[in-house]
Amino acid sequence: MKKLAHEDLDNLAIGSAILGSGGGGDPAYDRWMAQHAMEQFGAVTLIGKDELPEDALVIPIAFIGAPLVGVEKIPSGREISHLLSAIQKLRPSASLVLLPAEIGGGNAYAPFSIASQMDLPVLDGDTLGRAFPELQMSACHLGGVSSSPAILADSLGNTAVIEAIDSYQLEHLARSLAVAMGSYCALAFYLMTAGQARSTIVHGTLSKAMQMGAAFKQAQKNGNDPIEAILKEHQGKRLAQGKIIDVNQTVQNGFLTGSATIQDSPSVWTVIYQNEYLFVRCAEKIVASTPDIFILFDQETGQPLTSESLQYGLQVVLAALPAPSIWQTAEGLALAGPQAFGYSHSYNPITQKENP
Amino acid sequence: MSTIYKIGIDIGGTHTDAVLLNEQGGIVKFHKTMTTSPIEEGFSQGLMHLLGDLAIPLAQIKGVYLGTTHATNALLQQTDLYKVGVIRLAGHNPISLPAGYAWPVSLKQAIGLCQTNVNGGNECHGGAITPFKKGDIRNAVDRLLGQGAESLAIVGVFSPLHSEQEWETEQIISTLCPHLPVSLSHQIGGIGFIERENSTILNAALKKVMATGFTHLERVKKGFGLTCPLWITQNNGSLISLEQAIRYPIMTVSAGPTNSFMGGMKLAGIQDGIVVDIGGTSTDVGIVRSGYPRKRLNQSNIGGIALNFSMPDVLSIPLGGGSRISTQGERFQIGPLSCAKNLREAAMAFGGPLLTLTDAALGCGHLSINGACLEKISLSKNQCQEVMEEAWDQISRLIGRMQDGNEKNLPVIVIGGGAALLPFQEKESFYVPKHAPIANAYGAALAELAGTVDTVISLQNRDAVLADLERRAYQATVDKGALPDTVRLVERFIIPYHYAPNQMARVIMTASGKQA
Repeated sequence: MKKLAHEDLDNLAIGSAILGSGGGGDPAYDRWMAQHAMEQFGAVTLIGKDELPEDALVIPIAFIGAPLVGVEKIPSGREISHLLSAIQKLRPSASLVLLPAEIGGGNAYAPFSIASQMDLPVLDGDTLGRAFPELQMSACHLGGVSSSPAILADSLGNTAVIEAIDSYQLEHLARSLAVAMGSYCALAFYLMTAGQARSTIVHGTLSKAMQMGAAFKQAQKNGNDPIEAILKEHQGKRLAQGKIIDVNQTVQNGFLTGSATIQDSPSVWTVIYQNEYLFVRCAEKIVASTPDIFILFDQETGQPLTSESLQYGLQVVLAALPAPSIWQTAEGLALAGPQAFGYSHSYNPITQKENP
Repeated sequence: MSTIYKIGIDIGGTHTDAVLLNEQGGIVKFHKTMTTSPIEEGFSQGLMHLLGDLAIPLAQIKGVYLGTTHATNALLQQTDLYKVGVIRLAGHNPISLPAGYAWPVSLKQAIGLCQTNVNGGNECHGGAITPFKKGDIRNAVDRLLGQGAESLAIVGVFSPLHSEQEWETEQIISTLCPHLPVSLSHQIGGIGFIERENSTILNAALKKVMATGFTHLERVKKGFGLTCPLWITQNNGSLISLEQAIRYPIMTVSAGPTNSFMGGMKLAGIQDGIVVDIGGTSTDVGIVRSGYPRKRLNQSNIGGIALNFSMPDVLSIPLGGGSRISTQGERFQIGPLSCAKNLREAAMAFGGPLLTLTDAALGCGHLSINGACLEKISLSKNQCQEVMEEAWDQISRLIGRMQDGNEKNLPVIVIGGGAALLPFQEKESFYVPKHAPIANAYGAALAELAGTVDTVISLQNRDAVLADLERRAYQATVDKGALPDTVRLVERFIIPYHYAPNQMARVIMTASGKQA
């Protein structure tokens, strides 16, 4: 059990932007929102899997839609409380425990404001070990947890409960609703018992991301290259570095889809994304792909950049981290490997070593 | 054809510098005076010294180019700022982050920031979040005026794509309170609500200092018989009109470093280097590559506030000629307090009560100023040397922080009024150009012309369309009088209309080039 301090929120912003492979939205706003809530209502308690109450209803939470929309139409601050009211109607007597559905960018903070406001514990972990664009791409799906009932809420207070026949259908239905809700809304799904949560989710990722952020800042403070420090510690690899010479993106079907082109003379690299960075192309060839994690670091500040904050002219370093182990299995690859995104080529890990 | 001349003026926190350049960029005359309050007196004195006994016809002067840190200083010193009220056109009533969250508390108090949310705003796919209501605006204005607001910032969700509600809000306010200053967010920034709101609030606050300081400059200029235009340098190093600068003072907040870095490099006659600008109160360091200051695209901020436009990458410390020296245990502490504005009265060497960095430099013998009396300085020569060593350490650490892998072997150009404080000429790879104290005014006179294309267009044939727009931005810049082979693209924003067919998008391209 740990009470979170403002510094932990700070560190999480760096770690979640690295682990999120460009997805989950720029955490700058979400970090402030969490801090703003903690200033008003008190610190959030982070618990481990052994501290889960037996009667817990474990609720993964995320904002879904296009992160680019989220930085312009900022959350009202009431979305998650609408979700929880709907859940309390469905399961009146459960003791609620929250966790981020994905440890990616701003979404890593999704449970914090409401947890502070309602004094609910947050479980140290997430359901992906990274971020992915679609709802079936989850350790919960791999572990056989039902994704329904799923609850969506928008910033005006509209709430929908979906009972879908499987998580692919949920993705389909929730995506249409998300578009109708302005391409950005809050979601709770894959509700779990304590037992299910213990055996299914990716544990410890919130503290892992916070440690990453702390190590990054320590390296900066010591005058070392923070990018190098992170890549060394986590068996990552530097792929390219140069200026972004084109960003071609659009909000389509509720996603931010596009590509960013980096000039690393004489070669030209392209990062292809659907909210998350998924493929890296060099000289017309896919050289790296999902489920490996890709990071674009701002060369000036060292900060990892989420997909919606890419801009023409930025100097960046493109790097990769190995995929979390659950995504390197045959089942994991079938669900979130290259073919799941319509590419024919097979997954070729960027680093042979696995992430511990 | 007769020769043409240009006048460059820099109104800094301490000094107002004026310089007359000939066609080749050579300095014909210059003058340095103290910055006055109101500022037009110093401006007028500068012009008088340049033009007083000048033998050239005024018609040959092609422009007055003014750079100023007036707005920046107002922000940093938190003086002369309007109290600001924010109206968020956001029907979903966001309370997750209040306006001005994570700002320095003192600045927030100085501008008495108050905020209200009203119906309206847009979804990304078009259409209002909730219907915009005129009555809401009237109530919001009443509320904010009641809380002391003197200037309003209007920020609508997705206004960079749909500006109608912001315009309508301005219209309603202008009938209610014709003299209440209004700043519209879509005029100031792109997508990114919080950063755009921040920039709009600062703009609203800064309208006071610009309105009082700048409205008379045009009249003063005309009073000298000058019919040429008066230009103000903006953040990206190009020029805007005086009227624009008064409406959008936020556009000038980082023009100071741009002018000084460009001016320093021009005086030194090189393209790549590190520029150290030592003023009366602070020292700025930046890097120039191929003649242009290195920019900070993400995470630009001023006074600790995140903004959404690119600024030169600058590091600053509160060290300058007027910095006061105090003792902290065994060590000497330089700044952050400064008496740069009245150094000639306040510093010990001139009979004043305060020990300053200028005193220490005089005491070591690096510096000599007419009228300075070394006996009045309360430190021994050794102690003075200790202070100057500390100053040197701080400046070299600042340069070190600015350098990374590729920048290690760049020459260092030292400019500004404080360039004479330390014997930089004796250090390896340091260079103090002639006229170093007036580099800012020189840089302002050399500011560039910019041409912008801002249009809504289909990007179905993306590469060809973007290439064509880029050409049009180039042409617009050349048409304004820029030298074709110096013109380059400096900014490119593409904001897609996500809901419209045919990949419609708003595209903004800005090119910039040197004046012919």
